[in-house]
Amino acid sequence: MTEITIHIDDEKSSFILADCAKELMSNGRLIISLKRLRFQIEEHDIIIPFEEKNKIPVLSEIQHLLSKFGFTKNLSEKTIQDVQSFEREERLFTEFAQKAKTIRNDEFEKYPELIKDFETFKDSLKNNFGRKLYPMQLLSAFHMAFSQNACNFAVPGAGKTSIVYSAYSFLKQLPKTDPRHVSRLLVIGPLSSFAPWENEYAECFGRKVDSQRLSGDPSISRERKEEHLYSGNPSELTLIFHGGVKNLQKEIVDFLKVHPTMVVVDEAHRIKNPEGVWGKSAVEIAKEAKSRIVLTGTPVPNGYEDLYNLFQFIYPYKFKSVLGLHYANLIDMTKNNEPDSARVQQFTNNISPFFIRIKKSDLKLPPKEETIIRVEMNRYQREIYDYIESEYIRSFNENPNGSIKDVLNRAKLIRLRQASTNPSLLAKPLKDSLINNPEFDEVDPNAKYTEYSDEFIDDSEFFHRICNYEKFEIPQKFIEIKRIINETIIRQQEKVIIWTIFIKNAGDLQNYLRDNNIDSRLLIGGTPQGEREIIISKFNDPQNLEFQVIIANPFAVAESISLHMGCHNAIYLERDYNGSNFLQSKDRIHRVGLSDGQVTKYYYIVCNDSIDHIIDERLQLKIARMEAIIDEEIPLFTRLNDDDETDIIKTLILDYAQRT
Amino acid sequence: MNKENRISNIERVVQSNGKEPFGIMEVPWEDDLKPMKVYKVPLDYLVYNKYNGRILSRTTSLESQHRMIDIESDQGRDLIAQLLWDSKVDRNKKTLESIKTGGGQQKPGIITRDGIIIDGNRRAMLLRRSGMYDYFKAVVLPVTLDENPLEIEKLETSFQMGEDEKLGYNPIEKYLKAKGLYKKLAQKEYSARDANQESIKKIADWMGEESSTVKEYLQVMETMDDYLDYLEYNGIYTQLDGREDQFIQLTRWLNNFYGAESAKAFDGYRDDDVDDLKIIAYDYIRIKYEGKQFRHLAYGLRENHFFGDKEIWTSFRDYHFEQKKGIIEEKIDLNSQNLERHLNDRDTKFYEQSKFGNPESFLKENDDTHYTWLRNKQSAGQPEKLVKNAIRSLESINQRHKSFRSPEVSRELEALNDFAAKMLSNSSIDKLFSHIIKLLERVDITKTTENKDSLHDKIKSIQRIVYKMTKDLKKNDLT
Repeated sequence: MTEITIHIDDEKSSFILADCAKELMSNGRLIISLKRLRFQIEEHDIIIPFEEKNKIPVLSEIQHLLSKFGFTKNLSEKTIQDVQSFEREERLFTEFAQKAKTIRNDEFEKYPELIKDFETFKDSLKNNFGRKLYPMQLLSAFHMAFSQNACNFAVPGAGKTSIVYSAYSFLKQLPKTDPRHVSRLLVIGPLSSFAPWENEYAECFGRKVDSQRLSGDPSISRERKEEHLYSGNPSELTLIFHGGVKNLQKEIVDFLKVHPTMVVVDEAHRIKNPEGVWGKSAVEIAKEAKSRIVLTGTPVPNGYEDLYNLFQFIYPYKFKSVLGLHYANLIDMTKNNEPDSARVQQFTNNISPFFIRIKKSDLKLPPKEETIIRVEMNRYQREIYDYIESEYIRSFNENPNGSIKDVLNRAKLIRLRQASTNPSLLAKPLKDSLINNPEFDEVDPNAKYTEYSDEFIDDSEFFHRICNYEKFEIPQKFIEIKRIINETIIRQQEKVIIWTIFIKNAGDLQNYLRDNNIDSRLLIGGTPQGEREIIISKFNDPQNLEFQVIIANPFAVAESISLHMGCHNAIYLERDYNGSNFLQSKDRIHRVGLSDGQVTKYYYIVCNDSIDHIIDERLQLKIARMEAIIDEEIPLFTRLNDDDETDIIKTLILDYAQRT
Repeated sequence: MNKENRISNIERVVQSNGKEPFGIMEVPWEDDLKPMKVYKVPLDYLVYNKYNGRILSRTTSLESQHRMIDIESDQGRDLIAQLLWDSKVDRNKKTLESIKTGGGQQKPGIITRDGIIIDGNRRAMLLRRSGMYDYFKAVVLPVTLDENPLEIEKLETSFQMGEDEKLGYNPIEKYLKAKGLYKKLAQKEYSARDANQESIKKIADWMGEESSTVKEYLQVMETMDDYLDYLEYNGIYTQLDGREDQFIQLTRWLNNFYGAESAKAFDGYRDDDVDDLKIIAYDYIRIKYEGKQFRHLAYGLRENHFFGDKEIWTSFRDYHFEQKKGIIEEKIDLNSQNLERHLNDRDTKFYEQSKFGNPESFLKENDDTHYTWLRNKQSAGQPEKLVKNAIRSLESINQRHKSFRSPEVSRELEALNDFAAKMLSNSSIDKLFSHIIKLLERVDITKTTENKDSLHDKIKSIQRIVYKMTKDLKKNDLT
């Protein structure tokens, strides 16, 4: 059978399959498919038109059809020139897919050339890299360097940054003539990740990084950003926020064309939506990247379909054949198939060469200790709590549902949590009581219930009472926290992070502690980026005892921040029923890098006879299930509905009945 | 009679009866409902409209065979008359009967000033056939067909595709009509890629249908044309007879699947798989496979059809194309004097050949085998679903509720547990053991308040059973 060469005619916007009309037209099935591509015959040639935007899909379809019917084909020089990035991916892909899998599964001892590669890799790290990696980290780094386009789904606290830097250092030291060589790193991540990326560079390479931030600093003008992207010798590390790519898309593409760059998307679940601005712009620039890395601990927050765009990012052209499932198939699979079903297994198998998951159990972290501290409410708080609880129970009895649709009930649950932690919170409207900065992805999922409902009790005498609450009483939880800080933290020269969900609570607690000579800092939505970085850096320095207490909101300090270098204690002033965010916050101080034997301590302050202990009880069950899921290859949390609080309401009703 | 003669003759009828017409009829004309006079026009002055929607598929097919129809010749007139008669014989017989017994033409027709019948071709044919009437009662439009083709088209469509008339049509006609109107209005062939919405809207108004229906007509017509092209039957619309439903079905599938985004198809399918589906469906349509069985190909949710399961589809498809290779067809004789019969014969031969000497066609056999396979798979997937549902119901139980601790509930739970364990041991002893271990590990004996003696006894029985099992297993190894 003759070999068919695919030519391109840019003027006519067509691909040309020269001299094969007769041969191809004898295949009825092929004709039907070519008809779909609106082919024409000119003399002996087959002409297939394209539009600029679908040029590569058309080419890839032609290639697919020819091989489907057993024709051998190649691309003309000009075609290769025209579709460079596509062609490069095609070539790399076949070469790497299989081997990458053996690396990933740590089974490459059968391949002498890979063992050699691994040795070379380790040698290179010895010379260029200043950090010791634990085995799973090392394997991940080798996998990443070897495949150049890879996902790392390590759990929070697994040291993803070091993995990336070690892979980067290997690719960077390769000779410039090596097609794998990269010289720059572009990280797309949350603002809070910028400082960690910069600081870890210093730790990994022993020198301060020359970096340029393209987001989060209003003093950097658009001109400056463009100057960086068009510089003849730009900074080695470029940092940009997911939402900032769109605005500089063209400039970044130009940058990537000139400088061989590794592009990393940190907290990559944020680009999961293929139709969203963040998702689209990331994929657009990916096409020009030499190496592409996806990092996230929660690759499938809603379902398997969330992987679609991540794979489109690492393999912009081949991703569909990698996944083997379309977007709609993935949605369908999330809905209808169990993780151990053949379909999911097949899918996991399809994508397994391209991702590594480091599980919590791989980290071999030193132990943690969790203590529940039960406190009794004082008189006024008790009265206030009992009053609103009795009011709410009545309506809960009528409708005990707490799904996302039951906005009013959800608002009431928030109010109850406020009453059990600090009744002063009740005096303020519900709106703005929870953090809600969607532009930076700092959003409390419960905030949506505070928008249109201000669930409250219309009783002026009662209202008067809560307004004056702070004049009469300090919430018992505050007092307890002061006790822990004074008796253990300060005395033992340790540090503690206090987690609170309510914005006002952070301020109230800080004031109270200040009145008691305890200095603290806030890490909440309103803390400016620059200030946050200074606070975190001081807090992480064990020698620095300027302040030993941080009060933080889990949605403002969720991802990308490590606080384990200086702090081994966390106190939860209150918790909501969102399991994944609770786990995220715990991981801030329990992560890779802790010295052996270092015990990490968690204190949960729970008010007796209140919604607190119900949440505590149910949350433990939920977390147990979540932790089982976390150790799965593709952890699909949607299997447990993290956004339904019906069970809280039902238990509350029962509990109330038993108490009263 | 030629055009000029018809014009002057009709002109005379109009002039001499203008003051005392036979009646008045309201005709939708130029966006208005205009009262127009009805005249009795001699049948000899009239010619049939060969593109009449009732017989459009027939005349187009004939002309595709290079058999131009000259409506002014006797031969042409008789041919059209025959086509009109054949278009719905039963109904024609009935109407003819009523013309003969009930006093002739009931409803006036519409003609152009050059005598082309726009509305009433069938009535005129029947009047002629009855041999009892020489006149046709009709409104005379002030134009010839060439002078305002669109306005006439509109009039014809709204009259003939109107509710009560539709029933009398060959189902294929409306698709052809929509296609023709679209081409005239949009000045191009229909293509879903860049459909002219305005034209569709207009056609919908004229036909008295929703735009979405017209769009579907156009899409179905596209599939039909593609089918004819695939078989090299281009323009021979008679070959679509009796296949309408399958084409509607297939068109829906294609709309769903092309673009490779449907959740109803198998995982990771591509557009060229849809191409294959289309060809295979064409072969089934060709042998007039229909109804439920035709739907096995791709109808409904993914678990209900071949195209929803990669393994089944691949096997089904490969067998189809492999078998089809064994069928060698004769070339089409485009000069055949009766192409319709010629092609029908060809289709029949295709069907006969597809049996390869067996009682059934391989198409039927292939369908049967794979449908059985599909059913087996469906029932295999059922347990997973049911067990999942059961777990969901258990999870929703509130364990804090007082009634949860009642003896009835405990008894039922125990039964449930037995049942599940039995199912598990049916599937694998190994799995059952893992389950038992898990259960035992969960027991915290130090915290129990139950009767210690009874617990002791139970532990002893467990030990006894386990001991015996170990022994039996060893014995097994030895033999």
